[in-house]
Amino acid sequence: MLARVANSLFWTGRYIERSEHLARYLKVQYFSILDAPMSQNKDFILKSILTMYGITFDPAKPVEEQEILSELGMNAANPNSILATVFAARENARSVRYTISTELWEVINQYYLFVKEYPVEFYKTRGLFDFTINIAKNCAMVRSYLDHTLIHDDIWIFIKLGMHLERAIQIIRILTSKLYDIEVVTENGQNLPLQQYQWTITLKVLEAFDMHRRVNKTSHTQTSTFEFLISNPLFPRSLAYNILRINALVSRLGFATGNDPLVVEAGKLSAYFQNLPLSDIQGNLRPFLYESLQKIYVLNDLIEKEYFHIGGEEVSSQTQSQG
Amino acid sequence: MAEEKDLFTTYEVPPGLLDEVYTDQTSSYSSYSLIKSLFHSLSPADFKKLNEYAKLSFLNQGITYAVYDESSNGTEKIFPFDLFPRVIRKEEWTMIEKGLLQRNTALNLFLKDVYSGQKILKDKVVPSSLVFSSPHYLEMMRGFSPVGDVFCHICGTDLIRHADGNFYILEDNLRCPSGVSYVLSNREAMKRTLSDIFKMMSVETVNQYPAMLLQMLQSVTPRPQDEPLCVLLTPGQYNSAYYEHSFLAHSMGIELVEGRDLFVENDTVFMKTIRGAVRVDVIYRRVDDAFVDPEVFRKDSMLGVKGLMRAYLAGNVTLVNAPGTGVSDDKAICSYVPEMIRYYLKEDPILHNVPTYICEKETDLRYVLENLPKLVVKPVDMSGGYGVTVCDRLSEAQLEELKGKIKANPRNFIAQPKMLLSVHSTYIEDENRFEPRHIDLRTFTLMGKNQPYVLRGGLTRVALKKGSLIVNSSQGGGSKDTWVVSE
Repeated sequence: MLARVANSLFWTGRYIERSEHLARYLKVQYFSILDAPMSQNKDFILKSILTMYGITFDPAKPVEEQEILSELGMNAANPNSILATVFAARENARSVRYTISTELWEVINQYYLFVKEYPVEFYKTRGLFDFTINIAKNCAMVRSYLDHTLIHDDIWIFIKLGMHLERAIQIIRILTSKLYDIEVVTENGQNLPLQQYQWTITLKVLEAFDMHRRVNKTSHTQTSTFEFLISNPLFPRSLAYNILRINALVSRLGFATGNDPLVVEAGKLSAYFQNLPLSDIQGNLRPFLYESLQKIYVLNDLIEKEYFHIGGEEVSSQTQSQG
Repeated sequence: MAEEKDLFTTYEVPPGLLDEVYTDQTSSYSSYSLIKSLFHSLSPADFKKLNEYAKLSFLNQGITYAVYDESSNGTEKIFPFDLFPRVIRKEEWTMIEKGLLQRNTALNLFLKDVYSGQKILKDKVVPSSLVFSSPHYLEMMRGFSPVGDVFCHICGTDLIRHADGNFYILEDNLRCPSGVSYVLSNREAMKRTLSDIFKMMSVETVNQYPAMLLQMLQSVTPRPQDEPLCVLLTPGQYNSAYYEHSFLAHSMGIELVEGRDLFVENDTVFMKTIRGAVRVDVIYRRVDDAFVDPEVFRKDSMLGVKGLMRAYLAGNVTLVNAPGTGVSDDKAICSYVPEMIRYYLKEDPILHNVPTYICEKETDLRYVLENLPKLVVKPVDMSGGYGVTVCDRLSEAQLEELKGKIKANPRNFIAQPKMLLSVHSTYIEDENRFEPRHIDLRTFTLMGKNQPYVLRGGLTRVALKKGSLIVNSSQGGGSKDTWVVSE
């Protein structure tokens, strides 16, 4: 496979995954403002969404809701908007469409057309739920065609690798962002009902509320919420699950041998998450999340170095972080 | 229900023109009877729905041109497609196919001769001044023999049908002819939309084209002892024909490479893969000569591969088509193909050229200047319909201006009588009914070391603008599926 193709497949996976998290985060956060117990600061949550997207704004200025919604969803000129992200996924896929199945290409293309053609006025007023839920459905179609119409060889591996790596990064971004929200909107943890409401939102942002309850039948605390999303090895939107998947995918790439730095680093990180000492997290969440993010970036850089920069030449670098 | 307008009620066969569907206002040619009865049975509303469905199918498949502007995402345009297929009878097609093979065989022999002994020039059958003044003549190809002595592996020959009912050659495209992906996609769209007609008629398939193309590419490998590695070289995804490049690579199962994916070492071409460098044997390049190697041609080219011509001339890689083939699709040289056929093959040409006046020749120039309003003037080396002037529409002042241009650089122009391209029933969206529009036919011929192959059918291009004779997509043209049908 061409190095450039591997790079584009990887980024197709990353952008598809990213777009889904952006849409879901927007949906859950936005609807949480509408009927929050006691008055939550709407202005604050909208700014929190902007921060999670990596869109800069003037913190002193009050925000205008419809303006922000169109910025987040539809502004093609903003590389962190949903539209720009889906466009990037589709352009990467377009450059490698000859390597993937026609069916997979068509669902990616249809996903892009759906977002691009969505009526802006409706979206800004009553269409937000419909828009975001259909993004989730489109992503589910892409995932299904990816898993069921491709041979699970290198081509599939690079897309999946991009998806799991991006998902791990998005989980960390979401947790970090929610941690900050919780501190501020709950009067520094003094208001228990508001805290509980925020823990629920945190789980719902990752569609983890029901599964969390299955594991933690009686208690719902900040610790149970974050531990579940960080360390549960069987839940697909936990950090641990994705680190283990990255490791498995990396080891399957043909020439991965014992002394390959990527395999070594992925193996170390995976072993650590497999038996994660919960004492590492407790009371230490923020630095833990930050360090985990740095370790994932190291893996990303190794993937680029070993597979995409053949012959020393840079392939077009894309947006790693969102700000 | 109120009286519903038929899709054809107001259809009028233009006087003096050949309509391929209708002999007169009421009756049609027998080969169209089944198709016509189906279309007649549809109400304008039903047809509109079918048409929208076909368009959506193109959009979803991403068969589009993207027009890129300042905003980061492009406007997608569908290459307009008409649901009324063009039918060519099998007997007629057999003759066309023979004619195309004869013509392309002669063109190939001509290129071989031009880049070796130049016998045809010495015998003054083709004026050497025309060859050497062509910007596409490549002196560095002199003395080089490509694998199997094949220069033009893929030829796109354009034919028109005149009011006398005969097919004529309009021009040959021997550089990077495009359009074949639309033939295959149009057929797919027709099958999805109007499946019932296919059950009633026996239409020649076009599906095997990618397989034939791959066999042809493999047949010209410089290393026949090994399994050949073929790639398709594209200028990239912002090229207007990118869809076709991607489509062909996909359907042949070969890599679609850009210049930056290849490099040359020891006069050998390699591609950069995730497992390191892999040797390349055959490059189907969709990049023009001028951009293919910055070491030899345009230094500013970002699309090519440094050292590619060295590797090519060392015989370590095959380029399809060969560099320098453009010399024979110069429109002035094209008019000598009948002479080439007689000279090399000792045969009479099966397909005739549109009569061509070469402004470089003094007698022709005089005729052109005296009879300009009757003629169509074309620059010799432009494609895509650019620069074509239909003179009967010019004012006196414009005619004088054109005369000035021709006199200043006669080598750059040819002129042809205004050919009355046949018309075909074409759905006009704004009117929601069928109207006659001018059409031509682009054919595709493959020549390798193996059996030559002509795609049965080809791309019927249609000028959607009323009265326009220019069918190119860049000038508001669309296309139709072309059916070779045995009765």
